[in-house]
Amino acid sequence: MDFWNYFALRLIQALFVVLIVATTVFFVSRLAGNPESTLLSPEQRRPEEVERLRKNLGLDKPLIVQYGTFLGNLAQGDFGTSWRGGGQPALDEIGDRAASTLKLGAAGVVFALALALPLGIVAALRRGTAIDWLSRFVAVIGQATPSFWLGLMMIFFFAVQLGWFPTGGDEQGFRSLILPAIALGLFELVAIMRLTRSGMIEVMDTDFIRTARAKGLSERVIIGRHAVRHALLPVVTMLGLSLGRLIGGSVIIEMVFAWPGIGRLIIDSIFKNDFPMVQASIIVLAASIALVNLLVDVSYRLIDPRIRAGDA
Amino acid sequence: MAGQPAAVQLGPGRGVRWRRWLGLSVPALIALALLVAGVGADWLAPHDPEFINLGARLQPPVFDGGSWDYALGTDQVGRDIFSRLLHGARISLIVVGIVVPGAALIGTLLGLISGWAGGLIGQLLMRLVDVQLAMPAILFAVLLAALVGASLRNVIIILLIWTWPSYARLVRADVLSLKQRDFVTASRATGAGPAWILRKHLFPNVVNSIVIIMTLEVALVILAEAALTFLGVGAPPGTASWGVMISEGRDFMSVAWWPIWLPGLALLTIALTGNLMGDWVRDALDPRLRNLR
Repeated sequence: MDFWNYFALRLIQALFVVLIVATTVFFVSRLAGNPESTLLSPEQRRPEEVERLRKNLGLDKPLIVQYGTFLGNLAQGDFGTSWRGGGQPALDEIGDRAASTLKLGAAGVVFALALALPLGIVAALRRGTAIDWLSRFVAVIGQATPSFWLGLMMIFFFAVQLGWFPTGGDEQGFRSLILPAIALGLFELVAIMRLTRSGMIEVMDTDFIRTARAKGLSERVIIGRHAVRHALLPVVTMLGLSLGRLIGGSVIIEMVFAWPGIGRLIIDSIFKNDFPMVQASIIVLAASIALVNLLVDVSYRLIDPRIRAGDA
Repeated sequence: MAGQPAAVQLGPGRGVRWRRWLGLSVPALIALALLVAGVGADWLAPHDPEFINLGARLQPPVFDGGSWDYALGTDQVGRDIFSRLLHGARISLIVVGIVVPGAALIGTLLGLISGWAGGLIGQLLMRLVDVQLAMPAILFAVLLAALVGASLRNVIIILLIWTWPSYARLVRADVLSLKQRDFVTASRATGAGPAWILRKHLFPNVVNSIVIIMTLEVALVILAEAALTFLGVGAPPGTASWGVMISEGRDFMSVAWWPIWLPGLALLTIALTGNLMGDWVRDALDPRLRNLR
């Protein structure tokens, strides 16, 4: 299979995934959606008013027709209109919220990398020392700590008691970002550190490192230029595929820290019965995750021609 | 017998063996304690976990100036925290007991079928995995809760949907390589049907991996259940569940540390135990999977 065929195939697969997600979300929200409780005040909820509203929203048509309209609109980039607020397109708000979530996710990954790489590398090079022991302790504890609980504890100590950081929200720029980024990044930190450590241990035992040593290269060049590069390949792979997990994790962190991201938008919208908003945001999320997974797969094939797309 | 050589040490040294033994027995004891706590909560709990006693609100634990009446203190409405922890352990046990074997069963079956059948069915199943990967389960959970209401049953359903793909992917990958092996070809050549091959040749070769994932998933499932409950998707408020206790203790965090610390520590300890036992099982069954996660 040549590259473009492969690309086309993966693209179709990704579109299929998004279609399934969109369909699921559509039917689930139609089953749960109840516009009159969101859009009409109790006094307005007379039968004829409700009838008119349902007609305006197109909810009086058969479900299958609604589904067709929904897909048609989606194909034209119309993701629907929020049932709350001044009737702006749902996509407008989603953009801002998604940017906020991306910022949090990026900060979490940066925090994880900044600690995990040095710890993992040093732990591998100094096996059995205090640093190695520390890294394993961090790994074991970090993997077992519930992130929402860690978030609450940090709010209590560093925000309420010490007053170093705000208790939530994103009004204070960088200072608002630190606690949620740590709570979100801890799990990634552990994963990256373990991968780095085992990758480094493996690579230090290979022939090309022995060759580099035999050539008389300094330890610095051997580790910095040869070993680390090799050991980081799996880390890059994992980061590429961790987006879904990060988004899932950020939902709960956003709730704990009142962070105005897309996860919180979806949860708020669910509780407020704003189903067009729920549909639009979940579809946008699923599409972005599918897109990133697609790019990761495709870029492997570009980087490493040995990978054949047989049965991935 | 003369001339017998001095004891040659074959296995690992004493220190290593000692540490291995400790590494298994401590988590095993904690797991046993959890089991006893969950099963025997009705007999062990000194108080009714849902009995509200406003006269005894926020009593500190006995080691922080409290009394033995409430050994681990009480929460904001005077419920005994020790009793609530015991009953919370039961909820965690129920969830793990259904979700882990259930997801293993679904994932293994689908992985076996899609790996063996390949072609269209295999592709379809893998797209199902993709769908699951692209849709953050936690959001789907909240959506489902809005639809049918928050309950323990829904959390269990969600966690099943959430966790089966890890089994399916591993089993499928194993089956894809196993079915090229000579012993499978030989079996086919002698006229064995697919059901026979699946049962006699493929399943025994993947069962180790399945057991390893199952043990590693225990902690994940317990943490996920607490997180979902914290979000309001799981057991309803007031229930003696660790997630509920943390979310209710949150509002009194600055007045009293114990209502939120104790269930959090319980969660951490159990998750830690699950991970340690999972690592142990993995090393015992298949050290090649060291980098599984």
